[in-house]
Amino acid sequence: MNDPTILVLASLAEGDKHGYAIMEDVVRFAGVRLGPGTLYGAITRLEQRGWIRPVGSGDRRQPYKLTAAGRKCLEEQVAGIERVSRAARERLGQA
Amino acid sequence: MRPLMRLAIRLYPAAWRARYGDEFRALLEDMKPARGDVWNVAKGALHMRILTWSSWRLISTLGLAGAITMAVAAVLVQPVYESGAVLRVVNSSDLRSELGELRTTALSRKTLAGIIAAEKLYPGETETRAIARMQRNILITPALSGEGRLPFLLISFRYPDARQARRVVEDLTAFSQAEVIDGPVAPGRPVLPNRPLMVAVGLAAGLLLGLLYCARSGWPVVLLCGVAGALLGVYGFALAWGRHVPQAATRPLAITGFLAGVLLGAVAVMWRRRKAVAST
Repeated sequence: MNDPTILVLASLAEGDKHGYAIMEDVVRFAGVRLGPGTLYGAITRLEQRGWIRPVGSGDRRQPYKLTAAGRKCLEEQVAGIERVSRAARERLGQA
Repeated sequence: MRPLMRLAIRLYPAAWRARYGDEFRALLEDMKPARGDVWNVAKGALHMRILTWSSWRLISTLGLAGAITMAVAAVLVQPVYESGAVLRVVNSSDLRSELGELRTTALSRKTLAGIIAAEKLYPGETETRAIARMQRNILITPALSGEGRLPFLLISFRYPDARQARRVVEDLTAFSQAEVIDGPVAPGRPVLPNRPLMVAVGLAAGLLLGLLYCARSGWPVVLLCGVAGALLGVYGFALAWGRHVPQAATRPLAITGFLAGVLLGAVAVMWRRRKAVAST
């Protein structure tokens, strides 16, 4: 599970964060370090799709917020992952 | 590492830098740089550039990059010289037996090992490998020519050193009873690499790659991939083989290349469509 867009969405589900805070949070909860190019590639794509949006800040460190569409997308992705995970757990238990 | 990363930011498109440049620089200042971050930033910049390019710009850039890469490779490749001799067999009925005998004796492991040792060919390689390479580079072939359909034998050898190539052909002709009518000479110009062909193959490969990447407009792209595949099939074969493609092989190679290109194009189109559906 290391799709950068899902990791960024999952991080922002907790609250608004800027780039560095997202990077640190992803390391904490997923054990994955997103490179700066990868992180901003994901942020660019997510903003273009309307899944995240920048929130006002006087600082250069621009925080981002999860939009309603982004929340819905994350919920769908998580449901899909849970389905696969449940099926895999059941099959491992049967083996 | 930070100065290099700041430099790599300049690789991003200007519009992207105007929107994200400040916050991206702030991130680079806050984070602890890790190995591979410079490459990660450069890769991200390249990706952003590709996303903002039009399909035709991307295809032509990849074509140009392929041509330049192959041009550089063509300059770096070691030249190969070919020396040859023409022998006349007295009776045309003897041609087949002469050819068989020559191939058996001249191409035997013992003969080739002797020539390799005497001429100091393929330094640093094992005897087995050197013999296999030598067998691939020797051509002994019959040719009927002239009004009287005179039987000829052609013997040629390719090697990075022109004089050694000539001496090997001399050694090989000594195994034949046929009359040498055109003796081997040290060739002045190499037969390989065929630089224009290499550049053409690089161009075709780059265009094919670009077409596959941009494969979203369906059948025209699939068809273009087929044409590029056919060209690559024929000219790529000539490049790899180092000789002219025999006329009889041109059509099968072109058809195989075309079908492979069409298949690749179709797979790319379907993959792009599935990806587009998945991302909506």
